[in-house]
Amino acid sequence: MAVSNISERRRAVETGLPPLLKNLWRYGMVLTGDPDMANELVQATCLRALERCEQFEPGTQLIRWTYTILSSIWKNELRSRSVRQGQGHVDAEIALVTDGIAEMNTNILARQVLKEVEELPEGQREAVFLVYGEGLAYREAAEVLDVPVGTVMSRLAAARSKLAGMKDQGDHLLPAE
Amino acid sequence: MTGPAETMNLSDEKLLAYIDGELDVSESTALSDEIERNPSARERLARLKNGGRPFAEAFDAMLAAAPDDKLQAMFAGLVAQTSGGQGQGQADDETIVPFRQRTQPQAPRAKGAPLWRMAAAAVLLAAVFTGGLISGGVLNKPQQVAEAEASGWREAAARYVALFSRETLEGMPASSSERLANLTKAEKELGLKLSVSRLEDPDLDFRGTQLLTFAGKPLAQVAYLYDGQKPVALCIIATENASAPLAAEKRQGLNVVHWVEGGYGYMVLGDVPEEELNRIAERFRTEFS
Repeated sequence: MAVSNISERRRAVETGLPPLLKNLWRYGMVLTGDPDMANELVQATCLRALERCEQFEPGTQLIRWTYTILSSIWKNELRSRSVRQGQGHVDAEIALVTDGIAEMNTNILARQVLKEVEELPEGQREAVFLVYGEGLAYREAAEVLDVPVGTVMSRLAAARSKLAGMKDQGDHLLPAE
Repeated sequence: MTGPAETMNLSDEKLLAYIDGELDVSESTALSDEIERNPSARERLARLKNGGRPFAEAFDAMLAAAPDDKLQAMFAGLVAQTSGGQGQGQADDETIVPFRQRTQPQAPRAKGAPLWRMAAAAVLLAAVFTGGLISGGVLNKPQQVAEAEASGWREAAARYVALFSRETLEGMPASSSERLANLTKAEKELGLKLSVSRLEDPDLDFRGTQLLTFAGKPLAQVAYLYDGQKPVALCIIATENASAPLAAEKRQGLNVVHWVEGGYGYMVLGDVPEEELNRIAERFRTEFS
């Protein structure tokens, strides 16, 4: 029984993940701001998900389960590598508007919003993405991030406060293309 | 649930929860009343609203920029790598680490997609693996065994062979002309004479040759079936290492016999008894000396 159960879970993960890979990559981009790192993060996440498929509860949301894995791998394993030696500052290297987006003639407003989001510290960026980009409830985002709900709320409030400030100062604050 | 309005916590967080519809109806109503009475709250509420953006639309633009083909190929590789067989259950570190390393260019893929910098051994191996099962066609293309740690090509090749099944080998090209073409290609890249007669063994059923690369070097892999069911491979790679006699080891649960001679490293491996493998290796060593 346990065996069939595991194979059932394995199947749920195997068949459920392909349509979600783009979403995982996007989350990876939000965290790393680097397409190669995002690829690597997705790969590590999928590998972990496949290896631990027995922990996945069929019927629950696969995307949230894998986001949890991705978030944890980034924070516990990969992030330290991307931080430059010395005054490593991950946030300075973030670029959400990739060549692909630039080429695609994405509407100007979307690009502008992404440029603004790039300016946010990682924790805020991530909370904004999960709640406003992915539509997760505060509590769901907190579970993905493994932090208290209050932390998600304060990151969101800080992010929106900062974004409001950017609006006040007008477009000149946006980084040059 | 919530206390009287005047004791209500009017933090930015609470106000934002109000904006985001995260409060239940009674909380929301109470807060709404409080905001009416509290100019400072109104001001902060307006500011937080001002920090809103069409986030979902903006993030959707990123979704469209995702390299979906590559991600799908990567995932297919991981599925093959982690499903059943002897390749299962490798430690995370072991499987993740090589992916970061820049790999050598591979032959152009059918879709003409640029080489994905992170192309992983597993992905490519899986392409061979599944391709072999389905059509055998992919096996004709040079593939790539990503650079593993310093222990090198034998480990990479062993991992590769461990993924093999009898079915995989049965999917390899059966026509002698195809087999010959692959052999010629491997021969040319490797710079070593590989003829069918050299590669035949009375105890092995010759199934074909593939050209792989390891760390940029061509690696020929000759596949056999032993006893009609056990995959056995002879792998050959050019090396600067000094000649070395036959030596046995175990990798990926397979018996391995390896040696170096005349600028080439050889290994024979498979899930067959060590003495049998020794005998086979000795025959190939003589043939290639």
